Amino acid sequence: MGFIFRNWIIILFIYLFTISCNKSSDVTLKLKTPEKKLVIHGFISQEKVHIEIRSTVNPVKTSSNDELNGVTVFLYANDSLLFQLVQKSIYIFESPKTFKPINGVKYKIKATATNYSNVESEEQMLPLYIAFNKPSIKIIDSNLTYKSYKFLLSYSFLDDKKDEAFYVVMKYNYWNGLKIEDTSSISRFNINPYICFNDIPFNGLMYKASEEFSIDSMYQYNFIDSIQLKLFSVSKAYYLFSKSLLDYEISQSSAMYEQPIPVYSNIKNGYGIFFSCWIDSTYINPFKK
Amino acid sequence: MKVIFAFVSIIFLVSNAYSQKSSISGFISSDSSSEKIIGSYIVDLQSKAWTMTDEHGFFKLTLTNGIKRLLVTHACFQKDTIKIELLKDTVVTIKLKPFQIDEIVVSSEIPIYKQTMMGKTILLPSVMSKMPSFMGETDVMKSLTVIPGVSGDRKGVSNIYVRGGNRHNNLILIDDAPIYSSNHMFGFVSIFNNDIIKNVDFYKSSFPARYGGRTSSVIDIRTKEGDKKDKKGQFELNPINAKFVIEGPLGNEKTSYIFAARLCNSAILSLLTRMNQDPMTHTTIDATYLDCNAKLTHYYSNENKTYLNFYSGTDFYHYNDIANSGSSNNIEEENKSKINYIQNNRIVTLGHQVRLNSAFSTNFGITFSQYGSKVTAIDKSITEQDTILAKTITQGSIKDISIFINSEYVKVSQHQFRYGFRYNRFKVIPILMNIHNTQNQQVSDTIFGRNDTRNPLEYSIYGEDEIALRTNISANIGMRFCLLKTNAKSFLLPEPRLSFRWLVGEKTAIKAGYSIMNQQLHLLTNNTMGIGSEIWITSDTSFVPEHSWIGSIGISGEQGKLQYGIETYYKKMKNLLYYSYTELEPSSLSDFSKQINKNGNGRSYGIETTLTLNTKNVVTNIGYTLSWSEHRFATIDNNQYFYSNQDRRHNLCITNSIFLKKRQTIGMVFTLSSGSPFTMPVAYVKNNEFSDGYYVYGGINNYRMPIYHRLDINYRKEWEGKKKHRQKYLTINIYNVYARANADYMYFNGKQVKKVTLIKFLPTIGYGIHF
Repeated sequence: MGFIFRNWIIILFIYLFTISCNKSSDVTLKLKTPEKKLVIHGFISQEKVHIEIRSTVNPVKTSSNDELNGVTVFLYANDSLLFQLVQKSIYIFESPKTFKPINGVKYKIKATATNYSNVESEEQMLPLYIAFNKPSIKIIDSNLTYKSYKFLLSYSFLDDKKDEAFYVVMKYNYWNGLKIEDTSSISRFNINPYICFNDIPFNGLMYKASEEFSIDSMYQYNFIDSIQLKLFSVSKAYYLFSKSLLDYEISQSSAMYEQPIPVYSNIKNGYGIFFSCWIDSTYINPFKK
Repeated sequence: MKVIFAFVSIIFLVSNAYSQKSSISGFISSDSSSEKIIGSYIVDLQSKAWTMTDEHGFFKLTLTNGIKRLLVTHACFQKDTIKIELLKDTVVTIKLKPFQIDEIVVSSEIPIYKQTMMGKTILLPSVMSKMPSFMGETDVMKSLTVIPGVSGDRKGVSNIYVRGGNRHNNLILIDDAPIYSSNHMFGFVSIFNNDIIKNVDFYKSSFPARYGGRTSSVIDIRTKEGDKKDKKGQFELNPINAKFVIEGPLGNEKTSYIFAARLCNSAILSLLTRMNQDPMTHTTIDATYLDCNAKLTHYYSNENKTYLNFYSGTDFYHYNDIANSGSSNNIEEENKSKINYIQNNRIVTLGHQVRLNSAFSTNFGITFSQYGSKVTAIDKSITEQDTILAKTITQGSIKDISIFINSEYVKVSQHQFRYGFRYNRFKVIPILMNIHNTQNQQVSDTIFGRNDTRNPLEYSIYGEDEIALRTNISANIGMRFCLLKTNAKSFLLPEPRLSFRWLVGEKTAIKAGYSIMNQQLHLLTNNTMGIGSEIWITSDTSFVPEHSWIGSIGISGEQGKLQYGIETYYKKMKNLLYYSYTELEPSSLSDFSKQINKNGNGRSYGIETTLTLNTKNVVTNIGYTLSWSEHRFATIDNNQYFYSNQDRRHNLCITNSIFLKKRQTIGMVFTLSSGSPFTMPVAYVKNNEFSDGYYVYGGINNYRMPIYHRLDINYRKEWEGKKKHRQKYLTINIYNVYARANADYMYFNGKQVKKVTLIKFLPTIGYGIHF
């Protein structure tokens, strides 16, 4: 009897031991009432004010719809009300076409919505106008059978020494006037807005960059007839936002990290980002000799 | 007349001689091994004056002349009463016989109400070996978690948090050499081998002035010197490691040695990971460690010795992951990832201790301490187009050479002076990264961070006086000055220390204490797993030394078989750092300060209660702590206080030891504590023109994990082996007896809150032999 009992004890111990290392399991945690706040993402450039307004949703029901009614957005200059933004679509608000922002003026926006606290952004001034020098492009490799080409694109711009500056460079491919989504993951010029860099390494100097990228025959497009380069000279708020967004995504990628990194926000009583930028764009025909 | 005059003179002289005071001093050692005994209690049965032996086994007691009966006790030795006629200063050597203890206490044999120092606990290895242990391996750090005010990290891991401090705020000394990492194997085992430990002094407040450099606690570990009479050893095998100890005299009874080694059995960990792996991938985790302790002691005389202590420990972790993603054009495409992690600790102490007379002794020496870690990550991707190899080596290290002198002067009975000096020279490499890339047959090698080595110097001087103000009032007053010199800046840091004890009744005492502490070394860690990059940085113009002050007051006493204590404390901290981990860009390695929030403040406060009941065969200890720990940073949460990771609102620990016949003991530890805080999102921002969507958090540590409770049981039986001088023992440990799935950590995966339990139930058996 003792022998059988000891055997069962040993079997039970071994069983419990082998199942003792669990993978993660679900927990029913009583969540606090989700916050409901307005979320603003937008900018003021040398041409317009562009704002997207959403609301926060329940963190466990991320596909649920925003519940926004009665949204109004106002633009202020040096603490004085300028005008109410025009609603272009359900979430998008822009300034009238006649509006042109002025250098040296501090702009901010305020927004209201039914059943939400009013939100107010941090003040932003237009950054300095920085423009591309004429970019160059040349074909360094090609395969006519597959209509694939490898290009070397070089561009530069002169940084202003006086102020701390931040930049984003984007590249868009066009064919017959239509923008093509760039699916290249290797290219530095992707549409990912996270690549924002400061001017510390080249303060007051010429910034030069060269990049190789490939164009392959895809879908119904035989080739790209033009490339648009955009230089965004942005305010520090966007730099902090884009950096924190990148850090946030890294912190989300592993459960080993102890604390998530919050995304930067300069919206009072709400979330999101309002920043200023000066956009310079130029077009290049990659096949033009 | 002459006869009467002579008779009266004789009586006068004798009575005069007996009214004078003289001192009894000497060493107390083990009768079997001649090893000096630390913390032995000596009391005069008539006057109740008492003292205890210091870290060198020396005591001194000043009494009025006459016939004296001294009771000498220690938790691991048989009591002894010696009778002596005291007419002048007398030096004695007392030898106590060891015995199989039938009484077990977590605190010292000396009643806690009699100790001047508040917040001091003495741990004995024989006590710790009879407590339930993780996988059968007795651990100093885990044994400390039963003390009120001390909480452990995720249970099973050896990190401890003392009164709201972080794990790097604990000064851990082993024979005067500081330790910078006390973990083996992800933190499940500490680096301390219980078999070579003689004594552990633990301070959580009222720090004596001789200690400095950390802000939360002091763990002072003294190791054995080895048996000076007989050669003997011990071998033990348990699921986590195999260990071996040998000690004995070297040539004659003046020189002794002790050597101990442990080798981890990593087979169990490998087995468990293989059982849980995804069949689409081939993931293996291998982990092992080995360490060794060695000590050589030479006695020139009973009062004069030289010792050399050495420790070396290394951890190896290996993670291998192979994922096949199919084949293309007859080329098998796969991704291989490998991570190798190596961590090492080295400690050397060369010291000399001499007692010139019964009043003056000094201990001086040199220590070397080194901690380093190296992570090698290899990613190999084989595709149709190319084979891409990326190899990144990340390492950091800290080296510390110090020269110390500690002296003690006891001339009059009311004062015991201690004073000393310490010089530290550090070499700190916070982080060094070597990136090797091979792609398109192009190779690149880049090293970042190599110019960031720091070499600060630290000078410290201290003086303290243990004063017997009256027979029932004593105080310990000390002052420590520390001068820290870095490349850019110098810091002069004064640290006053004060302890006070008032014996209000025969067995009741009120105690109070106040201490200021500073810490110039900061630890930045990216997670609590105990692996990965741990970055040590030194103070400079950007990061000033951490500073804390703590005040505490309490009452303790004894009622029959019951000992009790109630203590309340308040602690303030400043110049804290908070490491917001992100992927370190190599180009910013020399200035990763952007990831660090600095100049933080902290506060912790609470009340701790202890009850100890000693009966003939059962010892029960109940400790309860109600506490808060909060931090605040200007760049986090709008400068609002948030609960720190160490915050545990309630912490209850019940230990129970039962002594049975035939040298059997059963130990139980029940732990109940509030869940650790963690961060959960309060809302979600949907995808928009600038992002794919992200969670927003209403602050740090805004939620609590579920309540944690666990029962561990230990059974130990000792018996004589068939061969002479051979004793055997068997230990059975059960970790988490009722298999509660406690949350070791939790995270939110976007849909559900997930709880991870590392180990739910773990029975282990260990077998050992003393020879």
